Amino acid sequence: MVTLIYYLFCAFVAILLLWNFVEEENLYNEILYAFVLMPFILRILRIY
Amino acid sequence: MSNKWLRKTLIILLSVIMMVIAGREFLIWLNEKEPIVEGPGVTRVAKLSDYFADLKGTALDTNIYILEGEEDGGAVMVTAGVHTNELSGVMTNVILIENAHVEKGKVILIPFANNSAFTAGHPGEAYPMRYHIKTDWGSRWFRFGDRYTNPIHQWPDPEVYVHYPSGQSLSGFDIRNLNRTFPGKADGTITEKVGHAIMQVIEKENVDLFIDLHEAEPMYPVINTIVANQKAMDIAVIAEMNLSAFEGIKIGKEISPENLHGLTHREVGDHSRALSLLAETCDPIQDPLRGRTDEALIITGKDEFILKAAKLGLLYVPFDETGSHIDVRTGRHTSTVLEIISAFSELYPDKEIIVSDAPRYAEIIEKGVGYFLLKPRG
Repeated sequence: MVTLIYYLFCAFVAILLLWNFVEEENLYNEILYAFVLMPFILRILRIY
Repeated sequence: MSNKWLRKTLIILLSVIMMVIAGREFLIWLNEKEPIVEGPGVTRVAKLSDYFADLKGTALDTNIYILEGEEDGGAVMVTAGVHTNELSGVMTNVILIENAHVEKGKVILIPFANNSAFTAGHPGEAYPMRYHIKTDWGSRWFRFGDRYTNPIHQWPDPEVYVHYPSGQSLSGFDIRNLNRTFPGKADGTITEKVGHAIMQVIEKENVDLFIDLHEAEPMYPVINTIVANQKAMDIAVIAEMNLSAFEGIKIGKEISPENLHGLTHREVGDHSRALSLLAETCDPIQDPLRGRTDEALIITGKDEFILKAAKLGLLYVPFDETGSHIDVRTGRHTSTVLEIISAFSELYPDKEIIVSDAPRYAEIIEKGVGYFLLKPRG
């Protein structure tokens, strides 16, 4: 159960980061959001 | 498409490419296992899940190699990879799997006891994920892992881990330490299930003698020693004397503390009919004092900082410029296993176990570990 909540939380943070990436106008912040998103996606896929 | 969306698309594309490259490497670490050649003495290969079905299809299921003699005798189990950064036990197991014959009795070998821990590195320690052993025909690779089950496979850790069945309190992360979770628990965590499964193998295969192979850092007092459950102390004493007298191997012996629970030498002896012992060699890569942490350190065990500590008298083992080579560590473990089997056979002649074609300390040092590793097919 805790594991399920953890993965849902990871997915929630990933969606927030993706949302910020879409809304962002500044190039450097866009790159930052895209890079920070990577470990969350890998964790949701249970690869990392 | 506007410039803004073109830019965003390119950034996401770049991120996906990087994720695919990193993800592929992580997947290889998670799934790829070193090839093990079944030697001429192997009569059966089983899985841990054959003895405890809950492990079937999990990352912690692992192979069990069984060598049976034509004559009936006792049964010995040798485990390694309970801690996956302690590799000389793995090498000893692989050498026995690929070279040894059993003339009398049965030898059960589990070289990768915690298969999950082989897929993880210890956080902050910069451990290499693999190491290579040179042979006459090329090289063989092996995984080098963590002391603990990969948190991908078991999470979260509790604040305090309460050991089953003793009720002893341990650090929370030790719930992923296979050598703190024996005798295991059928409905426990996945690491406890591995402990339970190994106990099932011991019961169903009528194991009489259990040997668990480990390594320790040079600044740790329990090193170059045999730790024995009180029921197996006489075996440890005979093995120690013979190793010293006939092979020049200086090795200590100590009795398993009665109130330190979860370790194989305590729990296997207390919860089964098997006599349990554990052996340790000197492994510099685990020492916090060490310098550069790379494959060379795994193999040679040479480290200038540990050498300095030795000169200052801070170590519990002799250590000089020659380091603690994998040949020496594997040779010690292999001779220790064979000598423990011999001592057991001497004390319990009706359960005699005879192993042949297994190299001993001097031969492993002379020829190197690689000499005894067979070439995998394909």
